[in-house]
Amino acid sequence: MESALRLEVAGGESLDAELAQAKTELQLLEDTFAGDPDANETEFESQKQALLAKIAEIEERQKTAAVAITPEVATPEAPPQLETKIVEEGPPPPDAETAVTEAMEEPSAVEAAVAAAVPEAPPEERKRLVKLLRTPEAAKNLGKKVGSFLKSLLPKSSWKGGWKEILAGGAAGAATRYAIRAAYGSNIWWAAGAGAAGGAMTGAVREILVQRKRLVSAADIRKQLEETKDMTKATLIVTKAEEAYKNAWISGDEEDVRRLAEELRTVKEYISGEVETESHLGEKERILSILKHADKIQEEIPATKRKEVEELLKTINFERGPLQRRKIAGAAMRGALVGAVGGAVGGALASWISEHINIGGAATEEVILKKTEAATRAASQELQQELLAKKAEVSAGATARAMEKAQEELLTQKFSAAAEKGEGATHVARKLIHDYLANQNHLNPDEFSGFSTEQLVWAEDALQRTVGTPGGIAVQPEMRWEFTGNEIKSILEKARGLSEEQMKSLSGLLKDPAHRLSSKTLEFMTNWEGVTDEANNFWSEAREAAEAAGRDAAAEAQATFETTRAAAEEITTEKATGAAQKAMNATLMRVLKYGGVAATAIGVGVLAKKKGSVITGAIRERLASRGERKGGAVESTLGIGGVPPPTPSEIAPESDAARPQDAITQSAPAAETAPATSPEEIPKTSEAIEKFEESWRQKGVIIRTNVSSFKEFTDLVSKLEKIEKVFNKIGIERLKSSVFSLITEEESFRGASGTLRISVNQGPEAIQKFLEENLPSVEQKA
Amino acid sequence: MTKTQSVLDKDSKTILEALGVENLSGRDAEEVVSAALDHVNKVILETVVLSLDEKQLVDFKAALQKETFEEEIAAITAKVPGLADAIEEAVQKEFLVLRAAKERLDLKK
Repeated sequence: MESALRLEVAGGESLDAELAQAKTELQLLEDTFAGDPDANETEFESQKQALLAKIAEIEERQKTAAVAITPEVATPEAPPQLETKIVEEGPPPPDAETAVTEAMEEPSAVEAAVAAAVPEAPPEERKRLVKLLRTPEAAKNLGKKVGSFLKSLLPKSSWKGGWKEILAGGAAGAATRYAIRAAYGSNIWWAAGAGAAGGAMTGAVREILVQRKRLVSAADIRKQLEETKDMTKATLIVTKAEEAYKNAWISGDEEDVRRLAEELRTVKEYISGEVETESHLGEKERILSILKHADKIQEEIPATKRKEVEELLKTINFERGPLQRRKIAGAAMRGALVGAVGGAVGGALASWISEHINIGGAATEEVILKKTEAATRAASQELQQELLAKKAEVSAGATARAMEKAQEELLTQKFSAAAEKGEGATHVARKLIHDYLANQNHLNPDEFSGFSTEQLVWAEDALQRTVGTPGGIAVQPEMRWEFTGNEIKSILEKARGLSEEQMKSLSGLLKDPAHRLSSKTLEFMTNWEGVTDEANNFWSEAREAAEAAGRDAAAEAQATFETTRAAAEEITTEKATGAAQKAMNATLMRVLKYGGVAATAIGVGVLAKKKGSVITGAIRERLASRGERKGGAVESTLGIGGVPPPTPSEIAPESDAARPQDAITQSAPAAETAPATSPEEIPKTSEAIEKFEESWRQKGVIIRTNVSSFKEFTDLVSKLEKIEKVFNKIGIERLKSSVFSLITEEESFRGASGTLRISVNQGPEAIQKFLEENLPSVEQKA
Repeated sequence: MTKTQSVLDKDSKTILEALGVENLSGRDAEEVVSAALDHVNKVILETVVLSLDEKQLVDFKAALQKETFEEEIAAITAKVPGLADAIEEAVQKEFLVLRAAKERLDLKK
């Protein structure tokens, strides 16, 4: 019998160890994920689910093992059949709802739930949300929902993964489960509100667990061991050392594993020779001796450095008798268990807020998307104009600088010209001046643009004298003359400085038939488009270089623009998110004010976990893929009167985004066959949607349209126009107590908490029939 | 059954089993259960006190001086996040350590 017992115990411990390891892995995973903003959420969820499944499987094995053994040998870990029976009996009694409602009245419960659900929201936002949620009507409604939420979990969860998921860690342990089970049918709910705050603060729970783990330290185990000559005490120390070693092994800290392994080996060797000293004791004496030494060890190895805590423990443990101690511990345990029940409520509440007050809803995302699109468009247009101006400016500047440089270089360039048959020095000089001016004309047209014929004639004359006189050599055909740009320019500058009298004299001379220039000559002298000799073309290369500099500068300006635009998008997205946030708050206020709204209808609000970068990232992605994606949500929700259209005063100044918030849209599954929206269609669709929604809004009906293509939109409008006739027949006033969802998918009618989901595809007649039959009950519910 | 529950219920059978001394009976069993409960209560109290924040610690000390200390302490501990599970874990671990130590001695006998 004893060996059989040992076998079962060993098996149970093995499962315990397996379970502990799996739980530790889960804790580590959650801690790692919580501390890593870049962690992959999908991967985390997948790993988490795998671990939860593993834990559930081990727990199942524990149950099976416990059932398999006889009551005489059952280990303490084996859950009695009664527990399972209670769980499987079904939902808790109705007073759970009342208890949850009462828990909601505890201010800290709602505060904690909000803090846990929207941890990154600014304090003032959280405060406002708490205030809204704690209005009597909202608290009552939320209390009911959280109560139903808890109830709905019971039959299917069977205390496995579901609870761990929903009750958010801190309220998911064995003790909590026990407390909740014990609470059903009893009046333990009295203080659930107090614990609800604790249960919601899952972060705090985790921190406590982490802190407690840190207290397990074996650093001074050997020291303790060396100081004791007591075998029983040494045995306890060894066990603790083994445990520390095991924990270090699981945590994977190499340094700890090495150090603790060394400790453990030393400890084991140390006690080996001392075994016989107390081995003569009987079973009772042995366990009493162990308990006595365990007390001593607890006293000698304090688990805290906090003096006041240590003193309090000493007071309780040494100044109070066992009976008092038992009463204190009992009271503390009962409180903790009550807190655990409340913790479940708080956890559920936080979870519910997180699930249903969700910024990630399609309506919200759409609002932000639209706002962002509009803002981005505006920003882009503005920036585009700026870019054009900037590009032109930068490009022109770069070109001008290159041209200036080319002009400077022109002075050192060598211009050459040759006389053809019958030409003299004047012809050569004319060609040289012409080619120089042609270069100037392309590099800096203004430089000599006002030059007169008289000045040109004077310059030709001055230059021909230079050409004709060197060494007294007569001008011969094929002979080439060469002048630098500077030399030619000097002569031209002198011509520019001719006096008025000189000009008059020259003018008179040119009128003389003997010196009159033919029109062909005049044309040649003043037309500076090309050069007489390609060898004198210095501007082409210079211009190309200057234009290249301009292009480079423009490209640089473009790059700057792109960067700026990206930054602007970022800013406008943030602004849009902020505006939508305010709009959502306004909506939530209205929703809560009017109360009685179905859980799904609160599908907007504040949720920091999807805020900021996550949201903007999602929107950016959606913006980027908008023109490409196939299908998408085609759903329109008509919010009729139940939540009246916002008045201007209800809308925050920047909340254009508030406009469509009154009705909520849930995304329908993507239809693969739906046509894609081209980027060009987006503004057109967007504008059409706005007009359409505005026309309904003026009738007091809020419509949210979510389509992914213009075609989808026109199809939807066509269907809605037919349905409008039905609504008119029934009378808008009669519909004002309900929220109607119109969707394009096939879906049977169902009414719940004032929400009717109606399939557009079923046609106006079917809708009218349904409304006529169901409206009274819907109105009653609302 | 949770260890917390067995301590609350002073469940002798479960406690003796947890310690690996289920063969004890009568006066011997009572003596061991009493000693074990007292030791585990200390463990529970340490867990509780270590989980309190500064304000709760002050309230806890003050509560100890009152006649209605049980109600007051329950009200304080109800607000400590995850305390029930922390106690359960500490108690369970303590039972395992005690049992392992006892088995070690059994083997050396």
